[in-house]
Amino acid sequence: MTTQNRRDVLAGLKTVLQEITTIKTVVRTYMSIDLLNYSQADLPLVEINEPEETPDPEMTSQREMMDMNLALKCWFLNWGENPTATYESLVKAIRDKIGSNFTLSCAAIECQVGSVSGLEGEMPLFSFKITLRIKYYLDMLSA
Amino acid sequence: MANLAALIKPGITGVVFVDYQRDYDTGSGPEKTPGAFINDLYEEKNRLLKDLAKNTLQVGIVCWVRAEEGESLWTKLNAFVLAIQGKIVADPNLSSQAYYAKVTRIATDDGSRHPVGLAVIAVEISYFSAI
Repeated sequence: MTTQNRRDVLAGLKTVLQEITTIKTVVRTYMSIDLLNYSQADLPLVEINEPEETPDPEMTSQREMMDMNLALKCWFLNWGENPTATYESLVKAIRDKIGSNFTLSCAAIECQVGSVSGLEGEMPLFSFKITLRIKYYLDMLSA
Repeated sequence: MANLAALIKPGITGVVFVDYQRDYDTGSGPEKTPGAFINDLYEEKNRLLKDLAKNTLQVGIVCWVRAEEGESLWTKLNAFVLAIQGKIVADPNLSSQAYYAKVTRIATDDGSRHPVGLAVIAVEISYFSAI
């Protein structure tokens, strides 16, 4: 099978999220994002936080499954009294997009949504988190 | 701030004088009662995005009344304070100019003596701006 690697998995995830029309910006971050670098027009913004990875050996010294856990943090603006509708539509859009392309265009074996946090923040800037569980194969022979 | 001033005059019937605190003589006098000065005490700007900031103003409304002979100074002062508070409560976004405006403290001057009474109403106003 084709060798997979974390770089392509994360790039694939970014590409998939960028295909969601309601999301304006997708960025990978190694630490908390500095929102002061972004304008209102850049939101909704999804940051892909650096993942935590654990190996899951399948065939010792030949093939190894990697489990990758990461969190997406989605920031959005809402000037209305109730941001719930925007929150729900963004959650649905992200879940549906990942659900319809759960291999992240063959970059991974699978990508599943783990949990969705509640809404955080105060008017007009809100955020929520979505955790993802991603599995991909490392081909040890060709590594 | 202009909308806050408008809540007091002409918003409250009978108010004679409203102005912002100046560093020069404003011409206010005992004949201009009830009256109020709006003092800009403190401003905080909290940047949320590159082009969006949340601003918080602390404003002190110094208001005074004059009681005629036979009138209760405290009744008159309390009525004026309650009228101003009521206007802010009834229009907390200051005619859509603020996110909110709320009264945080009311202090009456223990030193007030008939015929002139003073009170201070502290108001917190929050609004958003493009930096």
